[in-house]
Amino acid sequence: MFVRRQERWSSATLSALLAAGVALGPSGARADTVERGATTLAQAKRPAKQKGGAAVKPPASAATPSAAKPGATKPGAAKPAGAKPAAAGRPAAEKKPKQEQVRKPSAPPRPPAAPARPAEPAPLEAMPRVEALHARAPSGTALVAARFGEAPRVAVVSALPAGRWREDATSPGLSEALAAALRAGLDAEAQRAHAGFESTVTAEADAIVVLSTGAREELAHMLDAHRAVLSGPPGVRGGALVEARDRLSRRGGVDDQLEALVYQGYAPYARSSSARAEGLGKLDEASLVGFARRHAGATGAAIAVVGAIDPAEALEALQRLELPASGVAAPPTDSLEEQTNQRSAELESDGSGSLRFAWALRGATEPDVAAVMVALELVARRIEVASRADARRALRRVEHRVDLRTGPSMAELVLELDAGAEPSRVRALAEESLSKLGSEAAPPTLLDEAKRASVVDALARRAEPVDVARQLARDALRPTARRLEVEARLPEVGAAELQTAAARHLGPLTRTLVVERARRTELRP
Amino acid sequence: MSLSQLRAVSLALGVVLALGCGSTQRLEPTAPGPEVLAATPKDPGALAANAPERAPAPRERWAAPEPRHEKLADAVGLSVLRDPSAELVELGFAFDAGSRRDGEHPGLAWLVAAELCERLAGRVHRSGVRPRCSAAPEAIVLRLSALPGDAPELTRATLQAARTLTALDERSLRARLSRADDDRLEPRVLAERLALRHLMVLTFAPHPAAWRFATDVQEGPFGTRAFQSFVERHLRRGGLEIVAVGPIDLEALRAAIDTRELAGRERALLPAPGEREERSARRKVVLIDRGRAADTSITCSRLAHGAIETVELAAQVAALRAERALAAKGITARLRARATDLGAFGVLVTLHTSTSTERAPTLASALDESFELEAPPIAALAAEAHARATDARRETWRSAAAAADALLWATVRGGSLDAPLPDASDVVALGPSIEQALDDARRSDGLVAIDGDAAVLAAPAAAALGVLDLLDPRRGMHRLRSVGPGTRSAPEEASP
Repeated sequence: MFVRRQERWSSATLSALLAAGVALGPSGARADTVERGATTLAQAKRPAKQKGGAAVKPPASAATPSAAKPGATKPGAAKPAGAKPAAAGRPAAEKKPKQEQVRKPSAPPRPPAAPARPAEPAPLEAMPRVEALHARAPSGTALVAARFGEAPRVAVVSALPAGRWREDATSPGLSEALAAALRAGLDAEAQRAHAGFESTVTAEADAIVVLSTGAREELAHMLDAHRAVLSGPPGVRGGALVEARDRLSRRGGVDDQLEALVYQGYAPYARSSSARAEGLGKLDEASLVGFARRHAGATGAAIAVVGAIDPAEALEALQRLELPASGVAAPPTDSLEEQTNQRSAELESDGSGSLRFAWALRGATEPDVAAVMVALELVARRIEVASRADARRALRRVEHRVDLRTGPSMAELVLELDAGAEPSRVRALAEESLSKLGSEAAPPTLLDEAKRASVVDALARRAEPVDVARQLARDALRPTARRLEVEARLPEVGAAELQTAAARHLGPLTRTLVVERARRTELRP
Repeated sequence: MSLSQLRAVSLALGVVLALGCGSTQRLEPTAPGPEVLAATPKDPGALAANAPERAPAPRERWAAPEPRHEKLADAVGLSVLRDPSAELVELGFAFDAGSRRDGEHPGLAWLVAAELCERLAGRVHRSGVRPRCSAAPEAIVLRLSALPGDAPELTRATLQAARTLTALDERSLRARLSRADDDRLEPRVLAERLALRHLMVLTFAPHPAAWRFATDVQEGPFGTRAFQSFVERHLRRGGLEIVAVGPIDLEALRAAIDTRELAGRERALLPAPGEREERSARRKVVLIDRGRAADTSITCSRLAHGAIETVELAAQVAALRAERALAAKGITARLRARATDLGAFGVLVTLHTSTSTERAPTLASALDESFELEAPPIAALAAEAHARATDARRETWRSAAAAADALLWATVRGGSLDAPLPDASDVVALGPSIEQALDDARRSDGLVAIDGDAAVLAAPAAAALGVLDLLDPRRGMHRLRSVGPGTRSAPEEASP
């Protein structure tokens, strides 16, 4: 997930916006990818639980009368439909209700305000850990359960090691097709289940991830559905192949090109979406079933249950699933060739212009990855500050991410440009900041800022049970690049560690740069 | 949030249509029936579409968290939801300085929000926090996600930033407007903003005397004086609502809030709605082009009136009826229904789904017609509608961030978050009220937003829905074009 910065327009999706019923205008600055923050929500005053799980509300506190809620409209109260509209040309707010007029300020007089100064942060503490129970089923499936959140919702996530990493020359695009087949099956199941839960399936670099969320009361049924997913291979119809080909043929663009360059010569990740779509067109359902048999069985998979649950009970429920053992195909044996010079490409697109720097993190350990994350945050901050001071600002926002995956992970720094901005100035700025990383120790203040920002972003990324379940399941699948382990190390990254990791993994000779130039739009009269 | 997301709205829809949808490369359509994973007797675990249907599990009683509301000073309110188990504190600040206060200078609220955010970012950067700002019609909203120990200090810094936001020199103002103008050249920005305007018009147009919605920055004649006047009158005097959710030290938070110079002399009121116009249903379709998108997101919005809990159930009934109608055609779809209390303005009902691009026109049509359907009867859907409405309620509290957002907007709009949902056994008795809410939604304007590959969607969607209001960003900010039979043009909007 990207860490997004310095955004001036709302980039929240309209769909999300509409769904939430939140009318937002253009934003001053908004970080949509990290807009969710905290992870759990406990009730301020937890109602006493009655026997049988029923909760009773405590009596309303005198200190929190609902009448004190400004502008509150009591539920079910008649709407003031007949009220007069505000007088034309006069702000409605100028008319005060009687209730407001008689209210006196309750705050005591205060001394004059102190002069403005930057906010002083509290000392950075260790990253809170997600306490999870782990087990392994007789089938070899990794089982994980954790309590997270207080609302009675639960998330079940299965991760199958059937990402495109497992595709070879004879099976291009089949991970996408398998995801489509699973998606269709789960949709049908949810329909049949009536109000049970919602599921999504994503085909990722090294895994197919099946995410289901729903009411806690539906956990048993969600587990049934996931058991079916892990008990494959599924029966499929040709529609899954068609849908997958459609998806792949629509993908591509800058991201695809960047990845192809970064993983040049490394078949599992270098195959382009268009090549996969083309190859998929020559395959049939039998190929898909064979792919699922080889890679999508329970043996190599992981399943996580997270929510307002008892983790021990959830783990027992997982163990009762009796998942069938399945053969595990050998992983690919390709190795990423050594890169000795910067790779670059330039293209035009309909988006705003951007500069994309990327690195394959060869042989990076979890502490290395943590240092790389902080290093990218630090660079982003330097670029932002320098950009702010530049009268001819051209930078719209900076994003960065580390995509953890089996095999070499990928680090990426994206500098999105203002419409029509010339990329050379921003590029020079970025290259200068990047070069400092490996050549000099980061100033303590800046390092602390970068670490804090990394920690806040990491916590914001696991705001909901489904986020945590996803990370736990994926981490169980991938023993060497576990995100939760990486993130736990963020507060501990030191200047020397950062400098070493940057020199080793974010150097100019091992990077890839794609310059995306925006096509200019002509305004017509 | 994730938001499965609108990422890029890149092409003008008019151009898309002009190019001709038929010319777009298309793959053969997906098979119309549900592509189920066929179950076999030997494979008991397989997902089985032909297995017997099951009723939803009855939901346990669950009491939603109760925030604590207090008045700190005249026109400054604080709502707190303590959650010791959360890892971040979610802070929200709503200044009654939304774009409805723009007056003769459209864009002022946006400009003030942008400037406030930038100045605040400069103050809080050491905390590793990024403020997010927006200028909604109702308020300028600031949101921060903070480490627990930093929350009081960040609160203090935010209020101080608002208090000291006094001047924007001519050069900075020109630079900001210039950058805003650059943004206008970007089709995706234009299309997104136009779509938002549609939503606002849809939601609030029935109350023409109440609100002004002008969120677009224009190069109009406003300078530093207008900016300063707006800040003085509205940002600092209009009223402020503060929301905090998470592991909060309440005393430290209170001590950090200095309301001096922010305590409003004029208390903001939600404007009273005017007489609602009776009009025939008018649908609007907004196509948002994400280029070669594989997935399509479809959202149908209507406005209803009545008690929030009744409309919540009505929304679920509409979704269930639409799902049944689709199932009869062999299409499996799960529709998410939500009802958002807009206080005096009614309840915004949204139905949402994601689907493959090929199926989008059919689903868009189904969503649009969902309020027209009358079968199955409510009695047959009562248990499921109740379970779904309960789940939707619970989802509000799925994270501290979601709770903070809901709490903030409910506080600003006067909407309710804690109206008790009736018991499942009472849903049937509420049938007439639910049908009334559906009828209300049926008669309101309807917005169907389709976010996907417009090149594939445009013609089928237009054919399926019969109406297409076309956003054409390349032709200017506010120009709308309507095609299709029987279309009523959208409300007139000013040309730039």
